[in-house]
Amino acid sequence: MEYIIETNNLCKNYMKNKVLKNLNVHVPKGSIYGLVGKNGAGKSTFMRVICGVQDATSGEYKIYGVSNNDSKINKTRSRIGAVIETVSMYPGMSAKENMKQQYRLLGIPSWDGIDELLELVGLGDTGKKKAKNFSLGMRQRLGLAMTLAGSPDCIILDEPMNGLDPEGIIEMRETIIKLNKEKDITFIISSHILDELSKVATHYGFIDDGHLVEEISSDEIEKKCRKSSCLEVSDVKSMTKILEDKGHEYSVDSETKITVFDEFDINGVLPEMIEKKCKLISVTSSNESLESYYLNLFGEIKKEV
Amino acid sequence: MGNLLKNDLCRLVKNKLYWGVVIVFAFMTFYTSFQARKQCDSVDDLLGAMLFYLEIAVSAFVPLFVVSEYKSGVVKNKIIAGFSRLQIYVSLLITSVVSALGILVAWVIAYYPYALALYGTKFGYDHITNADRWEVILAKACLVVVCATFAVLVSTVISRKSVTIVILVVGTLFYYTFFLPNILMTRKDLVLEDVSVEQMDESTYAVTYTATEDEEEVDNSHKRKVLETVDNVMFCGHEMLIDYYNMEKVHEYILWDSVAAVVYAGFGLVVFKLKDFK
Repeated sequence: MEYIIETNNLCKNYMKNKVLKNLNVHVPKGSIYGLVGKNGAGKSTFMRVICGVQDATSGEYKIYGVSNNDSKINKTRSRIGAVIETVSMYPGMSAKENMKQQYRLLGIPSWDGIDELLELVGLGDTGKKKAKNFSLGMRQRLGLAMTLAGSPDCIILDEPMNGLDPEGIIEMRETIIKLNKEKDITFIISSHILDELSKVATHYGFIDDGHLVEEISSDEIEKKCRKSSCLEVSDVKSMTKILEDKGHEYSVDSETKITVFDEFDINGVLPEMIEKKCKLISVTSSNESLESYYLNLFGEIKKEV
Repeated sequence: MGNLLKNDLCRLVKNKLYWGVVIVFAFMTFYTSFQARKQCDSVDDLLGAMLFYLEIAVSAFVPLFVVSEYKSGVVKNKIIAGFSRLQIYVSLLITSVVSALGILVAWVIAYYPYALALYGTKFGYDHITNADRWEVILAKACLVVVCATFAVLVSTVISRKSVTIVILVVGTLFYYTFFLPNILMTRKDLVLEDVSVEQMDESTYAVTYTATEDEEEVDNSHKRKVLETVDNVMFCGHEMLIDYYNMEKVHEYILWDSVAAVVYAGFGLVVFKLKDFK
């Protein structure tokens, strides 16, 4: 798998406070990578280090295969667009003027794409209104438009849904998905609104106390989260035959355990199990969301601690 | 780097406050020149005026420009766009210096036509050539550059508009109300000896004399040395107000200003590199 960003034992200390502790993150190309973690877990610090706003204390990160120790890293970083913590813009300028400044910075000679980008994020009709008079949601959108200037391959967004109204959240979500699908832009998004994140993310990185707890794709998490029944049986081989005959989707977890996805009624297979002398030891069903997955994951960590 | 500079210069050109400062400064030049017309009797006399206002203008504007860059977080955009901190700082410094020089240009434009209208081509000091006058203006430009560089350094350290402006403006006021009079008081007066007057024709007299420094003032020589050193290391060139007709001093000030500007820029860069941008 090709990774756009990967870190190798990345550490960041603020004086004696260790914020990132041997963080190993892998962001696949073309993915929407959701960073999940508590406040202070190190999500924003990770983003700041990747964007070059802060230097790493130790360890290494690579952007498009170029190491942070390489002299080409600044040039490579220009392929990234980012909004970290607060949206960076000139408050005394209008949305269009801010866009022009960003274009100048990136050396784009023509203003042609500006109106299109502002339309895309829903700021096409703001006219001469200054950015300091924008609502938080409007600023978030302008931030996204500014990151899109220069057609980046990867966009990093720190809490992009913050301050958006429900309609704005939907628009932001649709814009992210559209850009990901149509322009193949990779996104790294941190958000506390897990329900929203689950609607866009294709991969997740769970961070706790500066280190990566788990890196998982949305397909894998869906398997774990969707309604499923875990069967513990004496004969897995016979049981798989029964499930295949009945047209159930399943996965074999161990020599005695099988997970059956979708709606599953144990009574429907009991006669066949008796016939094949396959004993049922236990049945547990689950119906997790990303939120409950997160809580379970971090609950387990807490218990371990 | 070119894109970065273009971005910063565009922001300066579109800054209404900057043009406000330039216009107010040009007006102040007219006003003070008008006020000083009774004490001055030549273009050269007026040349020494306006340094105080020039410094106040630079001290007030540069922090506004620089700190708004830090506060808005746009520095982050520049870093993400692939520019190094060195490039960003140099661009910001150049733009600040350009803004300060712009104020100086406003002074030149506002001052010369007025002074020439008042005194015509009567420049005042025969031993000063036009090239010397340009050097005096260059020395003032150097002073403005130091002022701007220092303002960028203080702005980078403090990162708060109001506090930075107060510190710089109060510092300038302190200099003019306390420091400069001390230098003036410790200045050795010249004692004229062997004065002889020879009549050349009906209306022309030739005066010859030997000038030595007043030995009674020697007690102040150490104090003056200390003050001069501080003046050189900090905002040198102020004394130009008194000694601008002394071209040796002017050369000295240009040299000191250049060194001071490099030192302040160096310190500023170190602070900028270590700075945590929110």
